[in-house]
Amino acid sequence: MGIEKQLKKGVLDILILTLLSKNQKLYGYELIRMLKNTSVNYYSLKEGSLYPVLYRLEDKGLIKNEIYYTEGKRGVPRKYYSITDFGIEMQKEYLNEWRVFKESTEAVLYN
Amino acid sequence: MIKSDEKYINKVLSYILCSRPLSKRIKEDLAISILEKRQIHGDLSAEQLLGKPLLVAKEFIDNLDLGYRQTTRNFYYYVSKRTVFGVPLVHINNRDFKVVKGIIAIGNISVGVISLGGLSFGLISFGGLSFALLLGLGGCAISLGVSISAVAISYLASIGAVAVAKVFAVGAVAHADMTIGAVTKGIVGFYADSSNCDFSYLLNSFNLTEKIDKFSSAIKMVKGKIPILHNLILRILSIFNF
Repeated sequence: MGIEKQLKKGVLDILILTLLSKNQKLYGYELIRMLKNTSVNYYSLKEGSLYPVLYRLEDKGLIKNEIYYTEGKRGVPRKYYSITDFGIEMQKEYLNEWRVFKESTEAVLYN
Repeated sequence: MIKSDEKYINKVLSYILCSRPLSKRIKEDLAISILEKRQIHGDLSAEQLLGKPLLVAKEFIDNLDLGYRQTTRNFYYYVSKRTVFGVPLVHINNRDFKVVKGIIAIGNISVGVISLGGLSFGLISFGGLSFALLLGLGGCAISLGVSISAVAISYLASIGAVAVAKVFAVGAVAHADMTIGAVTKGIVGFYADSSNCDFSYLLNSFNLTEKIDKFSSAIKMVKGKIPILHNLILRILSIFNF
């Protein structure tokens, strides 16, 4: 309870953007699993939380998507997301902003 | 997309008030999500894979700052791409109270050539309260042509529990130049209980041919001739005389 939900909501954009910057392309469920595993189950996203972030990043031009079909007779569609050049630029900027935010907040909290 | 997946996704979307493009986006992504998870977790249902529709919808609503619908009604929204003089051929919306306009219009408030709604306006109109140029049906129908409803008001012909018209009315209470009902008022009436007409006849005393004759002679006597609309009604009644 408390402010955890709001805090998590605030960092999702940069987390998803960072995962995409480190991987050539990822599909939705892959993003959810990678975030969960990397954060040791702290970030356990559902579709209703992931897709709004993806829509936001897409609408800003930071990521793009392409649908591929898996191999086999009945190929299953998969929507892969990848970061754009503009997204790479912004991800670095967001990371700097995060560092400043983290240092400034901790300065208040722990001093 | 398999039918059960589509039904699940539509159920999720029924809780979310959003624009059509966003709804389409969410639908596509949920469909793909289900398939992605099914590949890994096996042949489970959409609900087993993603969760209860209401909870999935709530996540989208919270994260996209959308309106949250309290009711669990099934909402439907459709606008046809085809238009006629700029008006959609078909427009259906029962999600909100925006006026639905189309050649065929269905909604809480609808306006169309054929209109169906709680409050409905049209050439042919069906509604709780319907206003029609030609044919009105519903709880209360008001029409220039024909009204058939509990409370029917029209110029030409009304049929209903309470039927009021200029030319012809049939009902428990009927008020028109020519009437058939339990209680009648007008120029000529065939009544079961009581009548306040210039010419009153007991309902069951005459067959249809005789009724038509009585209507004709009474109207001719009062108006000097049988007006066109009265003649039309009498011709229609005679069609039923077999």
